[in-house]
Amino acid sequence: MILSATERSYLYELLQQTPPIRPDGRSNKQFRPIQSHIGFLDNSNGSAKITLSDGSECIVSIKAEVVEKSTTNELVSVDVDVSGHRDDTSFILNLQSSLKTLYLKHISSESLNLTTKFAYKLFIDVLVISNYSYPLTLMTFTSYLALNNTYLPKITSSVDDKEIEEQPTFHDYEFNKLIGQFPIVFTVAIIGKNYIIDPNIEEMEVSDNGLIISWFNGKPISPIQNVKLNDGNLKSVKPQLILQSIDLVKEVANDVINSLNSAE
Amino acid sequence: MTTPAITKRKLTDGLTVTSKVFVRSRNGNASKVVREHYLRNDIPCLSKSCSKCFEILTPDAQGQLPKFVLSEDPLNIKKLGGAHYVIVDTNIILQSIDLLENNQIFYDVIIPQTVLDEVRNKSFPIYSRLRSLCKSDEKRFIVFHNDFNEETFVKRLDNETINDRNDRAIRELAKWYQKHLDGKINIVLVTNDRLNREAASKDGIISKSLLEYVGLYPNGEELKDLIPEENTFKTRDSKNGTTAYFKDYYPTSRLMGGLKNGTLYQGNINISSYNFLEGEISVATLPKPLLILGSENLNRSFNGDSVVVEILPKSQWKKPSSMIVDEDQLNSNEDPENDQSQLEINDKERRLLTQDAINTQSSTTDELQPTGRVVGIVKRSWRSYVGQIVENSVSKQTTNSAKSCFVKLMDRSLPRIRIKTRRAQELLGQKIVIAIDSWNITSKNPEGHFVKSLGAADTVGAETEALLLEHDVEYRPFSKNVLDCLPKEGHDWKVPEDLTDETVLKADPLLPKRKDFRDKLICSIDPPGCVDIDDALHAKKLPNGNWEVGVHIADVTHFVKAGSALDAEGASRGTSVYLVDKRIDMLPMLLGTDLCSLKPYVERFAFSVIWELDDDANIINVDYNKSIIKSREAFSYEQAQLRIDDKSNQDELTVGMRALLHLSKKLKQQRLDAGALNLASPEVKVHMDSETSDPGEVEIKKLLETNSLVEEFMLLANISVARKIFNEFPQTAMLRRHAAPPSTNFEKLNDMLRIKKNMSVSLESSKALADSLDRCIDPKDEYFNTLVRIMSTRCMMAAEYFSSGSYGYPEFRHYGLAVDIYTHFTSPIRRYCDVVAHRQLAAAISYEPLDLTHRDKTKMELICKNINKRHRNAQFAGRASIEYYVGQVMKNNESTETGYVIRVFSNGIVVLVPKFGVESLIKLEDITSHVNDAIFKEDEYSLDFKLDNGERRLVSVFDKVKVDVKSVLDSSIGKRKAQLVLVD
Repeated sequence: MILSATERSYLYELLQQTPPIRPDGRSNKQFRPIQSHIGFLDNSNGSAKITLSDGSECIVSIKAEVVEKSTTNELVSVDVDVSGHRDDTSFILNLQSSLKTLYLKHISSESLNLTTKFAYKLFIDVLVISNYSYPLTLMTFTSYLALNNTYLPKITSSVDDKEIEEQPTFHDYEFNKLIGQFPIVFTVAIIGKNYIIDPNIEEMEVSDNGLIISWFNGKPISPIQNVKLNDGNLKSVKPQLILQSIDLVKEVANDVINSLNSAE
Repeated sequence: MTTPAITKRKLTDGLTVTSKVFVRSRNGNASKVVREHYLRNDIPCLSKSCSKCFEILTPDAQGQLPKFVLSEDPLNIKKLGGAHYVIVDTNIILQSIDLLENNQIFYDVIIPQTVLDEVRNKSFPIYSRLRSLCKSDEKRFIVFHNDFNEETFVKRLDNETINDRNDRAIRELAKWYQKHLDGKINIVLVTNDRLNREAASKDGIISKSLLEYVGLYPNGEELKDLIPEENTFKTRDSKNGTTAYFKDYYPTSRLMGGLKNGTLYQGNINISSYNFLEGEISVATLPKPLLILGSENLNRSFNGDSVVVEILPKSQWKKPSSMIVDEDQLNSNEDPENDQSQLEINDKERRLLTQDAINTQSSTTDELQPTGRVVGIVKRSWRSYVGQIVENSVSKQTTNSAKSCFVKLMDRSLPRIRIKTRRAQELLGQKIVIAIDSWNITSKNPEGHFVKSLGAADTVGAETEALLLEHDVEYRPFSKNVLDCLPKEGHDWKVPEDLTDETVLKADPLLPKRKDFRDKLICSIDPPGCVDIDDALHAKKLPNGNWEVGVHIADVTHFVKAGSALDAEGASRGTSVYLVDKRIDMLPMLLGTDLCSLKPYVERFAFSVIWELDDDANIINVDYNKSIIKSREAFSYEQAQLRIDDKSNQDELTVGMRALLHLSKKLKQQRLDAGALNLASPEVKVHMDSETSDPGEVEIKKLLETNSLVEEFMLLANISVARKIFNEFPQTAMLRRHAAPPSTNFEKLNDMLRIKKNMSVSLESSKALADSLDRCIDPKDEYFNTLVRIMSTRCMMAAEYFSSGSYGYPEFRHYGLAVDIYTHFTSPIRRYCDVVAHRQLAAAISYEPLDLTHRDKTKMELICKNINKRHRNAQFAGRASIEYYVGQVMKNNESTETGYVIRVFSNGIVVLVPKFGVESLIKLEDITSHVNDAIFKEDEYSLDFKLDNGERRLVSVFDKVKVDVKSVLDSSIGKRKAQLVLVD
């Protein structure tokens, strides 16, 4: 989005105030309202969709496949598709690899385990249909919903196949819910001495810098890193601001998780 | 009846869509499958007493409206509160399809789609029978598509098994019908599932068990015999308290896992006809078949079942038994529990075992053989079986309740079946058909039920029907829609006189493509009394000194068009079956013995192969044509021989026949030089007394030169046609191959020859085999050579039909005939392979386009599989028929004959009597009372025993012995067989 010099300076001034005055009237720790759907893709093991008030929309589908553990090193595969971006741009590849590292590390392999020889491998397909702000938060939220509502076929054959091999066989109708904690990622924009969560496109455009802060199991985790939210003015960030941003996330994270968990 | 308004519904009219979700386990993966499922509201109930359904009728794709089948006045049974329709559940159909087909019970039956689908998944043959029941109006069976009907569709609940859901769907349907018909007609749900009945009564549906339902009929008591074993319906909890005689099969997951990692093996089990406790299974990784010994290891498998086996630990490896084991001899109290402490062995150890097994089988010192155990059954080969009730298993008490008794089957390699019947006394001594229901681990014998009686044993009718049933030969008359495919003119059909006539051309536009060969001097040579003449021949000297030779084959495909009901029937029968007194035709009589048959003096359509041969019978040129011929004469082999031998006969036809004979000898020589085998089988012919149809005498078939004349040209035609159709259709040509026998097949025979006669047969090539067979001569015994040939024949592989895409060209080879490619072309009246070859050849010469089914590889493979099976069954049925009649002949003429020992066991010998072509087992206990005194020298194939008079006698393989041949009735199986008694 291109802002005129006047618009830019007006916005910047407002956001510099204490407390910051955001164009849509939110407080610095307030999210835009989101709308979610889950479990609408019959063919997937888990699916979710989130629509933001600005029209950004993300769909995640989770499929599970039975793999032999000895021949598979990663039990999670992530595929990202953002409309308007080619698959091989660094933007997409970055998103993809950060998501993959996140999930590989934090989806427990016990929850995917089937037998001594076999396990499920999850294929997480993230599709951003339209996007007006930095999409990582949206993507992790949607994935969170999808993972939280993933149902895996129930194994009926013997679980111990170490000595006597069995080909896994499954119940024809029943599923087990995928149990576990899943990470999410927050985006914080830094403007002057202020930090605001979930910046919208105008806020991103005038921000000095951006931070992504990951959250898992009740505490912030790595990666916490800066991210370029616009093409122009990137300024350095005081360490103090980073700590404050993390505190902000700590303040809101549990509420976010609770509201995501209550999604139906 | 008012004609309903024709309406068509579109999606937008509110067809309901729902989705079906289920998990499919395949190859270890679990895929979630989602199917869209459309629900309709225009499915009629098909009851004539319904007044509502006419409004919702919609025509099908052909514009036909559904037919209302269920009677408006169905059977009224007071105890059921009036007239009623029946709904049956899946198990009732699977277990008692015979009862459903019975025309004394079960009219106006509603088959829910749920049930139909389940039946199809469980057993395709029963599904087909059910379908044909629904098709014929006679018993008023309908299928109601309840899963597609808005009002009767039920969605599976969470935590509901699929069976429970289906039971609920059936109950829902019963409720719907009851309501839909306004209570005018009651619905009775017949199910043997107690829980289902309880749920039904809660829903207010009348439900009965099969036994209860049958009991409601006035003639119920009689029908009750046809009800399958009750306990097959019982749930598994009856296991507690009773001893398990067998081990449970492994779960499918284990079988699949084991098959995949190569520690379990799958194959068809082949149970020895001498020892019903010994089976073999061919496993790809092992050089020899794996032995399965003892009933515990056979683990309820039937001969021919597709099973999964595991190799047993080395400590249990055994030598193949050298005993004859008959179930009758076994003490019925024998304990099948062999008390081997079952150690769990893991896959790693199993892999080592496989290696050991290969090493052991490959080593020449064949002491111990690896043995296996059946751990799962992939597919049962169960069918209807013919047998007889074992007399001493029938209880002497004459109560009216059903009593268990044993049925001994005709097939000796199968165990006795336990059935329950009230009519055991009455059925004694009759051939009966039974069906097998189940074989639980708690039962020593499989459970079955009585289906029907074929009549008293040892009568021609019962025996013939029994052997047709046993060999799965379709012998019912051709159905109406098959006969409808025949030419309307019937026997008056003629080759059109004027080939250019407009109306004729309109009826058969391909007629101008036929060559007119009516001027050729064609004759046929067949066995005496032959009515289905497939082939005719002619030969003519060409001006250049070469010979024009023609083989003319009945043009069956002119009448049997691909895709017609007639074609389907022929394809399913596969071959005509020749019994001693009866012929079961592949095609209706009208075609076989008249319209297609190349009868003399009349014009017939033919498919002709015309060669130009030089004087040494080398092919200069070959041409294929659909033609019109007129046979000048139909000879028997003997007549033809006489005519050729009679020097005074110098007419053109005879000269042609002499040329054919001359050329055929050259052809035969060429074939023998290439290494064609001359194998022997003890073929005999039974002469029937023409008036009483009683078999009179048995003779060995004589072969004349003219037999060989016809044979050679048929071979030549088959080979030429095979080349042509393979050229044209490299992927789907219908061919016949004969694989080289694996050397292991000949091991035993060679060992016998080496030890006893210091001879051997060599197997490098068919030529080497042929030559080495020629060398196997015992100067003191001229029959010895034939004996070796007979025994060699049994070591050969069976020839088989295949479509050319299934094998590589080098594997097309016909080992016995020593040609690189071969097919069957010359007998389309009695073999379906020839029909396909005809169509392919017709397409190859651009006569007419080839039907899709003969251009499709998978369809061709299905055809081949079926005709291979039919061909084998027909051969077995023919042999069984001869065996029966030889037994009949000998009833009247007991005699002492020369026989040869062909196999030696530790407690008996097998003797072949060439004169009658019979072989029979002589048990040691029938020769001498000193059974335990016998010394069996396995490595010398001999048995040394003490006779009753105290002398010792040594009998070994190939020995010429004198035997008394007489016919005895084996009372336990009701089979009359030639029995041999060693006389000196």
